[in-house]
Amino acid sequence: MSATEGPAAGAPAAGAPAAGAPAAGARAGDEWSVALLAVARGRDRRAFAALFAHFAPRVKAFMMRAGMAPAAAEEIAQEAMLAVWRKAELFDAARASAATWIFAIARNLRIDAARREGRANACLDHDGDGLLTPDPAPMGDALLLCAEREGAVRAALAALPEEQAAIIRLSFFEEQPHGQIARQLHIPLGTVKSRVRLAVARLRKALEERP
Amino acid sequence: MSPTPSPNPNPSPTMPPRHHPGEELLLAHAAGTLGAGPGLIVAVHLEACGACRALVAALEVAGGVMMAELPPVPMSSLALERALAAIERPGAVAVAVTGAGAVTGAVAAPKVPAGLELPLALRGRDVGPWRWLAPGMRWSRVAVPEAPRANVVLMRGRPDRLLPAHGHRGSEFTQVLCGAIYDGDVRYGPGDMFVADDATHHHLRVADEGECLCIAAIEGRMRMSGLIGRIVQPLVGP
Ligand SMILES: [Zn+2]
Repeated sequence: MSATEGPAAGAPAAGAPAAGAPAAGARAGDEWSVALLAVARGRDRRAFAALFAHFAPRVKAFMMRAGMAPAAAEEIAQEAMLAVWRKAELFDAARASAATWIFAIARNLRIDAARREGRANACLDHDGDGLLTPDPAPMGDALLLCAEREGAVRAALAALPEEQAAIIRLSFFEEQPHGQIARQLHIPLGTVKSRVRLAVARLRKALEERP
Repeated sequence: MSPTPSPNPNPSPTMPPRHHPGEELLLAHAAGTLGAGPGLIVAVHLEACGACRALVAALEVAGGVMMAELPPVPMSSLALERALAAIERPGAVAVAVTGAGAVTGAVAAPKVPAGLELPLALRGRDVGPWRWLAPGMRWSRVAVPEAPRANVVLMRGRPDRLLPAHGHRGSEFTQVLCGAIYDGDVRYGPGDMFVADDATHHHLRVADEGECLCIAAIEGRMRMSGLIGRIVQPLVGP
């Protein structure tokens, strides 16, 4: 991948970012990734505490937004952060940022929780899934979503018309996405579907336009 | 697009798939809101399709952004202390993983017919014995213990055989693992995924280029008619 501007990769931060220190933006993601790498390589508890302070309240918010009670959401956030500690070695900064990776962990825990609701003993290990495993088919750079590509996706997302961004947002929060979203926004189901297609097409374009 | 297309007239499993899950399905997969059955079929497709893997990765970035943009909800005052205590306990660190093969751990190999290599997404799942479906067609159930109502089957057909005509009350998600299948004039080869919804009434035929193996998640009931329909009933479920 092309050389990064800014702090040299491979020079681990002397300490983890102070809680809440990084501002919004692509660079912030990198700092959290550095903290996560410090956990992976050095079992750095200070870095873990910083990650916890930043991400646990966001995972909790995500669970509550998805309809979970505060106590259950807090429990899942705890579980997610323990998984961050346990699985840190699986984190690959070339494929995703810490924010994306922790989202994937939280999402999988939410799936498990939803299935447990239906029946007991429904826990499936998600270790065989996506970002939480080494790339099953590392066929080349074209597939790698490196930091720059992630930046392109973030930019495309930020540039989405609000009506499309709203649908994408709701798609991540609602359990029964599209029918529910249509009712909630009082728009036809077909409109929801076409906005999803338009928004995803823009993200696809952002990926394809990267060198 | 490859800059130097190799002159390869024969479709082979190394060709990128041509038929992909729709944007909505990929988004639901990234969001974690897709049902277990269809989710499994999409996971099998992703193993075969770099383009869809890249798109799902982009959608996961979007998920991370959406999560980060929510107003944070403070954790209870002792939350961090609890977490720091928990990580000190033995067993809190996973065994280092060195390759894809090391991930799944020691799960007994499923009972798979000879000569069949299952996708990674099916590893550790029970696959039942092959059963007769129609002349030249057999099926076998894939266990989805985390969602017992999911109906996932492998289907295996000899060249030129027809799957009994059927309609749907729910959707059917199918991924071709090897060989090829025609729905009318449309050809689905290895790596291709297609969805039949309740408006579809399809006539599937195995291409004459070899045995075909598919995996399908069937939601709701298939509508069958006549003798074949009654024979196929076990597949449709109770
Ligand atoms: Zn695809």
